Amino acid sequence: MSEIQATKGRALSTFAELFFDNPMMDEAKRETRRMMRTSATFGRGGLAVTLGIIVIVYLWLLVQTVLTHEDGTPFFIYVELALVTLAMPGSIYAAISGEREKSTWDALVLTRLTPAQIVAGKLVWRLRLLIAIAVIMLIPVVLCRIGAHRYLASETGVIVSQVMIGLWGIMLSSFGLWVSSITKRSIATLSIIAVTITALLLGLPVLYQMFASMNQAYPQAYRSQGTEDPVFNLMMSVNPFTVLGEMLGFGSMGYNNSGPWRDPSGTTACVVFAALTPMFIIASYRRLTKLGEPGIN
Amino acid sequence: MLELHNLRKTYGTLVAVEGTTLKLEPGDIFGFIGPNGAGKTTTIKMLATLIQPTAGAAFIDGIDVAKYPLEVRPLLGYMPDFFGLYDDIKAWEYLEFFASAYRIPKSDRASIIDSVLELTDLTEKKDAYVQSLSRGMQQRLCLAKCLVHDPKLLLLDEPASGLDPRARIDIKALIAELGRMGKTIIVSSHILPELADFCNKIGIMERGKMLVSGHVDAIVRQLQPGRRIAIRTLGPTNGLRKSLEAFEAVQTIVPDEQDECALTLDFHGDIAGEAALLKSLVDGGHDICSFHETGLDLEDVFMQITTGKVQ
Repeated sequence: MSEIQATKGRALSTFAELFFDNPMMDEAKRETRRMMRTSATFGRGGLAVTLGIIVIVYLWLLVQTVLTHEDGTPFFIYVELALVTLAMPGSIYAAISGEREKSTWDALVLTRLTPAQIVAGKLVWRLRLLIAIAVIMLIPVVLCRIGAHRYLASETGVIVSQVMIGLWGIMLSSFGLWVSSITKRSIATLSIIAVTITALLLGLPVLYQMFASMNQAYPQAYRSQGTEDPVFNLMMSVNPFTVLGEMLGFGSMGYNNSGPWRDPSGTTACVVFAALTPMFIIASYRRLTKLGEPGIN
Repeated sequence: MLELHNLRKTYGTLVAVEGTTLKLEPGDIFGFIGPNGAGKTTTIKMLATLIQPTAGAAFIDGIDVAKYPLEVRPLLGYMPDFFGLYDDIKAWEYLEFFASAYRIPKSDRASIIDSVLELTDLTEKKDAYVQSLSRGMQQRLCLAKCLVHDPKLLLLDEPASGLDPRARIDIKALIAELGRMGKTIIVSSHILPELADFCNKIGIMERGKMLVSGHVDAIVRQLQPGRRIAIRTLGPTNGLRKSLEAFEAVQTIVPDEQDECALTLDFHGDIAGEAALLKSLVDGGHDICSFHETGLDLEDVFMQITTGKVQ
């Protein structure tokens, strides 16, 4: 096994191999075609109607943004966050487990592709998706900034929100890739990701409040007027939905801004997301390296 | 080209492959025969560097498979029994993907893809989506994928399973052609006539053990030391049998149950003795209309060697 360890260095790739001559980047083309084909199974008419409705609603929102002179920024950014939260895990959950499920993984392993190329290929087109969502949702935001009579959200808030959503999306992708690499079935991957995100955003805060109220340890934790509980505050500070509310002028979402580890600026969230992303990427890389060795499959 | 020395794989107390030893030269087409669960796929997966052997060693082109899997992988093309293909990709895109994954220079890819498509008779399907191809074509596409990097060793696990008769014939012809091109090929199957036509070497495996391996003729000779001769006469063979019993070199005489004018005998003598036997029968007034040697076929060999027990 020592010789196998010695050859691990080849798992690394040059920049060109990662981003310019990486066949794994072709996955975007396949996935787009698959999406179109799957949609077409509902009938070309159905697909056209669905896309038509989405486009009409989007255009109507753009027109309303211009005509009403109201600042719809918080609404559009919330929609952007919701789309990113759904689209990133939804697009990446089958990245590795799907390959293993379809028996295409062995063929990949036997090529000269490195784990780094696979990780890069799997992540990069999801990042393109992230950028596409941001661009689509930022068009009405820009219109709002130009035409609104009064602003609900500050420009700093908008910029920080974009950074936070971007980091959140990248973290979700890398987390999804890692979970996909440690599971053998796509449905298991999707379940783990869905449960984790739901727990992080909703389940844990609710359960924590219930637990705290039952024990009366932090009676203020379940009150709508704020809390001094550092754990609960930290949970709220890394929840992009609650942070976004405060950042964009929706208010404190029922909680005050005081207390230790309470950070409505989004800095804590950004730092946590930025720190977790490389951890998940490295974990995915290590797992793929392991999967490429004999004996695991 | 390929050497196995006491290759062994165990899963807990289950011995999947027990001490397999084998040597193949370039151009050899080795038929790996055995019932389901015999250990064929496990052996092939060990050679494909997908499973780590428990003991023993395997060398491909002199490189230890277990110690240097990354160095061995470019030398081999592996087609599993259950292979997956990417959907929503055209046949040539699929091959280009793997050509790129094997780091074939961009400038060479198009010509290589054209040549493997031609070899596998898929040129007309170049722009067809993979999911639209028939099972036989997908099988050939998978084989084409195994060839893009020009491997020295091909590991084909049940390549003709699930194919219709025409597709089977096509894939057999293709494997034979690859053998003529000098590639070493290991092809597993439990359908014996499938392998008989194009394998020059076979190995019979049962319950993890390689019971016998080597040249087909040598194995047949080993199992059937004498010559088996089929004789057909114009009338019943009663008189012929009496005449044959007088010959010392003639051993077992087996009359054909369905044809009273035919029989088979085991003859322990050389080709000159065979000619002398024929001459004396004709001189003895027997109306011989057919006299020829028949060998064991792979099914006979397989049935003689294996016990039929599965792990």
